[in-house]
Amino acid sequence: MVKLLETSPCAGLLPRHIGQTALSERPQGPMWSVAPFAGQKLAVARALQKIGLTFPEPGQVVQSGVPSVVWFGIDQAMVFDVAALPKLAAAVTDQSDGWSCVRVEGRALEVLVRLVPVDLRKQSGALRSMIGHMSAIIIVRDEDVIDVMVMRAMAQTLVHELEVAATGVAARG
Amino acid sequence: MRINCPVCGERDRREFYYGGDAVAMHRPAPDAGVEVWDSYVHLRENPAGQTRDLWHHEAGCGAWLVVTRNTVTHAISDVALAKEAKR
Amino acid sequence: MRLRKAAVTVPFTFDGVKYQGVAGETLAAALLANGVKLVARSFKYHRPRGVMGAGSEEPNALVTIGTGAEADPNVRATVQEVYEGLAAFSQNAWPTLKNDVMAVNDFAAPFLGAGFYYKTFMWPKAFWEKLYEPIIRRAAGLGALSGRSDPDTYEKAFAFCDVLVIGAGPAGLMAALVAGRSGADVILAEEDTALGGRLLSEIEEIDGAPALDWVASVAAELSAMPNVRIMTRTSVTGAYDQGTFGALERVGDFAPRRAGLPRACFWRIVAKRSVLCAGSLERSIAFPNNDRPGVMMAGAVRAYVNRWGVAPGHKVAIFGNTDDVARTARDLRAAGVQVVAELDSRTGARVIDTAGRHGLQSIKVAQNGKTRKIEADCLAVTGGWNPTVHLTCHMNGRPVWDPEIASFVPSAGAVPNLVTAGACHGVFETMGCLADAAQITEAALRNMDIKAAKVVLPQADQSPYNIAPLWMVEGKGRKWIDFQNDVHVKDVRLAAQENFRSVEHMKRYTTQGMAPDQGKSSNVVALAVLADATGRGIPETGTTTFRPPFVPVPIAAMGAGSKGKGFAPQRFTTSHKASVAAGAPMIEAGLWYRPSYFPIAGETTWRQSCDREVGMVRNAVGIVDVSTLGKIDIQGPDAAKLLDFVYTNTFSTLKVGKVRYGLMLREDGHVLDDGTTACLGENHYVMTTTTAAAGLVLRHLEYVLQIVRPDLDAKVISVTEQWAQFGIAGPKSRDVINGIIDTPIDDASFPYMACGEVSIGGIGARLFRISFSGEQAYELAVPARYGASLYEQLVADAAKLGGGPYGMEALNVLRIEKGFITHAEIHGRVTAFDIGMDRMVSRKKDCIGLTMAAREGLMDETREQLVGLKPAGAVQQMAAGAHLFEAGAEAVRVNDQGYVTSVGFSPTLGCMIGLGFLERGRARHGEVIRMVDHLRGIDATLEVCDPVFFDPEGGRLRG
Repeated sequence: MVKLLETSPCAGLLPRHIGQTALSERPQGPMWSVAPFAGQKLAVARALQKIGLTFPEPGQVVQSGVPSVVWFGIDQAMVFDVAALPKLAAAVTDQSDGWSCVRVEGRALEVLVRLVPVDLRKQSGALRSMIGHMSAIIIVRDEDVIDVMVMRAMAQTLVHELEVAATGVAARG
Repeated sequence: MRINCPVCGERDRREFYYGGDAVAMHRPAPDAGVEVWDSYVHLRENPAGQTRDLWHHEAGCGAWLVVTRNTVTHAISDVALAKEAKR
Repeated sequence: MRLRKAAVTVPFTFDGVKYQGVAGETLAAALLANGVKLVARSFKYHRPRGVMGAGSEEPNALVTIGTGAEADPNVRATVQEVYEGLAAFSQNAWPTLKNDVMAVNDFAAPFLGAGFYYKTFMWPKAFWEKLYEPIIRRAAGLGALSGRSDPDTYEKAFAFCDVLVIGAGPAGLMAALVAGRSGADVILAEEDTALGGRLLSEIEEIDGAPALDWVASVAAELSAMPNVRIMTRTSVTGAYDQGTFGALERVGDFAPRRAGLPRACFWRIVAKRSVLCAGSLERSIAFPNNDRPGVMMAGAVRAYVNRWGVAPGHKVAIFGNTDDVARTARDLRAAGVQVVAELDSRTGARVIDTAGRHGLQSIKVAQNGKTRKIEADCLAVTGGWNPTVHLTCHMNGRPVWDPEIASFVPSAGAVPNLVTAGACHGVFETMGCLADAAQITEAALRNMDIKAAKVVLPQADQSPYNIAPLWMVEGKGRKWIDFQNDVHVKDVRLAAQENFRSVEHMKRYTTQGMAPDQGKSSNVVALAVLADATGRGIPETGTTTFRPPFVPVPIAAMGAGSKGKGFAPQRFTTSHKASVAAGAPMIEAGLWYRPSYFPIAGETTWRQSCDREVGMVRNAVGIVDVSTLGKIDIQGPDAAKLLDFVYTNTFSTLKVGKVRYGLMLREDGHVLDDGTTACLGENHYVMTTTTAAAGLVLRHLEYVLQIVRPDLDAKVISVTEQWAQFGIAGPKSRDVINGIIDTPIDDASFPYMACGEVSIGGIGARLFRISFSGEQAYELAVPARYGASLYEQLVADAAKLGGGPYGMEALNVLRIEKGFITHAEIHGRVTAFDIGMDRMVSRKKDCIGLTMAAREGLMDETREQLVGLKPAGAVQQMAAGAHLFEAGAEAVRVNDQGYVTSVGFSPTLGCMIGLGFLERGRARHGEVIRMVDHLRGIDATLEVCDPVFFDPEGGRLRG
């Protein structure tokens, strides 16, 4: 039987420490997109509540132990770290391998001010925006811990952009 | 330019894709006739003043929006989700 | 001459000569301190010029900083800070600044007035572009670019605030203090290195103590506020829609280069409200020969004396029309500098000429009917102050004339949510600035529902301004207005005489105000001269207006981060490393990188590799990464209805486990994209798009669901990146598949156009039996984390069967042999009819593009139709982009009957083959036509044939 090996999106690129900024790759856990069918949002929320989650409002991140659910766009959420979802009246797709997710720690705000056209200072939770030219999801965990996700194939560009920005921040002292 | 997305809040224009006049929301019936279809597909007003057009929050929440704006002052007076906008 | 002994000095050079400066002072101050007066040659006439101002509005003292690729041209010496090792160079002079041969232009000046070039170099017309303009451009000009790639780094960044205060003079500090104490989120942007504005350069008291004490205490309070960000060395360059501002922060250009440190940062600042406290700019008076080095603005003279402790001359005369004449004299005397004349125009005094070749030596003065000569090496001039209205013009605001101050003030509401305060609001005395700023800021805060904190106004200078307008002084000699573009009074009068009476016409005729400084110190004077020449009042003549940027912004700062890898995101497939390791040259496909071909030992040209790879697929098996194709997951009760509506053909009849080819139109009836869609389960499909159109099609589907058919209950999402997908094509493809998947398949269980879930070592995968080569072929998709590993396995297994990987070149040849289309054919102007797929447009249901595709003219038999093409003459070459003509017809536009879209050498057929569009093409199979590629010089005879060159029955793909 063939044995396939895993490769992570940022393999060979991370971790990196630049000045007081640390860049590391988040583990590739299970990740499901959930988009409730017409009129089913409440039903989907109830079904998710049974596993300690819910259907998030715009920008919301709900954590329940390790699993979490993150707002991902209009009428769309992403459930993280749940091996299998209950049956939902929603379009569900496996997105576990579709994204590169990098955690920016330390001077995260200063680094992302150079890449993201949104005021991240007063944010908590999730938002959709851009990192440089890339469409991204940004999850503000804390003011110095921010997770950024772009399409998997753009991992190299994401790391490059973060490195350039972090280098500029570090050089300013 | 900034557009106040009803889902995401005010965002920079770079997150949006311009989708043309909101007339696109009024798709004629297949048998509406050549002139109606010609008008729907090709003919557009070019007002000095208020205009309604479609913008896709492509690098944001993914919503298509109906934006009412003034081509002279650049003021944006209304932004609504296309799904919920008046037709 | 230094008035104070500097504690520490740093060495710098100007034109290679070593001088000592004080770290932090401007290059202009340092040059004046060292007695350097001649710093530049003027733009057009190469007149000797010296430092004129002390701020970013400086028209004269432009220098180049650095050498080689690092050189920055046109840097204002009045802004550039001195640091150890700074190397500055004069511009626009050869061989030296003192002996500039182009100064001959100055003697030819009578011929070189405004409009000279347009009138003189008219004939012959072609000479303008090729001969006259290059020569004129070389002679005139400022600094030169190095012509090399800029090795420096620049940054871009975004900032947001409630209140943006632009300028940190007395008004700006007060505005920031009020907003800051009120708890608003404040950015205070100041282009100088220090806060204080004019107070840094004036001798004034606030609350009975030196004004700078007050500045220091406010600066300290603001610095301590967490809700206030102070950005010094930051010029706000432009005002844009919805409260967006551009700002240039000088980050690394005031110190020796340090690794990683950007030179400058271009900020986009978004502010809910903004308070413009940009102050005012002093203007000159147009008197004869008013441009000699040593003739300076009076406010600048006070700045050099009071702020930098530098005397710009030993014998200073003062000429002006406000109380600033006395103020300047007072400050100079207090500093121990000799004042040789106080020439107040309000008492009738006029400077009517100056002398001194490379620097001022004397002035000629008329007063009380007498003229006299006064020895002076510096003349401080003031013609009054112009409010810095620039940003209020950026959104079409037109400043209005205020006779009280004889200048323009901003029109109210010129920029939404921007208010002006202090000198730029037309309030010049310090006390007025403080009161104005406090009141304006309080109103702005109220307007955004923030309760304004109380600020007690300190006592400050209230001396009146007392201006009596004086724009020019008659007399022999040129009376300069725009120093940066070399425009003088006669030019403006000539414009009026030739009927360029509108300001906008005068500007274009004379180039007044069109230099990089945008006429900051000259536009109002020029307008006054034009008004005089046309016998109108100033407000009737016009207004002054400005565009962004307020100060020059390096293109490198605006494009920061977009060099090299930052230009566009790069998308790499999971097989990328393996392809590169195999020596495959990678080509860009949109943002993706895909292998072109895989050279093996002995192959020296791409064609050898390509031919081998084509043969490999036709005879054994080839592996290709197809992950770049768009994959869109579609689910929902109305998923099939959505597909029926976006595809021309019917998908609601597609059964689970089956794949169907579909064609998509735009609403205007032309082809948008094509691809296959697989039915994975009830109400669950995965649509494949072309690589190029993946984003376009997803947006199109959202457009349909949200705008055209919101009644449809279906959800779409990209799964392109979730799956690594590989094509396995060729007669031995099933052997490779069966060696990999856990449960083998056969023709019966997995016929052509089947799809289903399979597993590989227990890992869920998707298998599709589709073909883009015409061979029996499969596409196998695994979660992307396994992509690299699966690819390696597939290539190894294929190699055992005489196969291997193939690239884009072979893929292209294979599909041309089969007449399969790509975006080379469906390029936006073709219909389903043109590509012979009209049968695929179902008339039983509505779909996007259905009605318009049926238009008369889009179904016309005379249209250009897809055909196959192959050589039929001695010339065996074919080229995409070449045009088609009837045999024997002249290869000119009127005879054009079509064009070639794709070509390739078919090793299977042993000749070049191609696809193209030809008028009535489908009825002309067998006809011999002419192909001409005018660009590459190819003229060939071709035979028109069916676009399917190989296996037209399709027996091979059914296995």
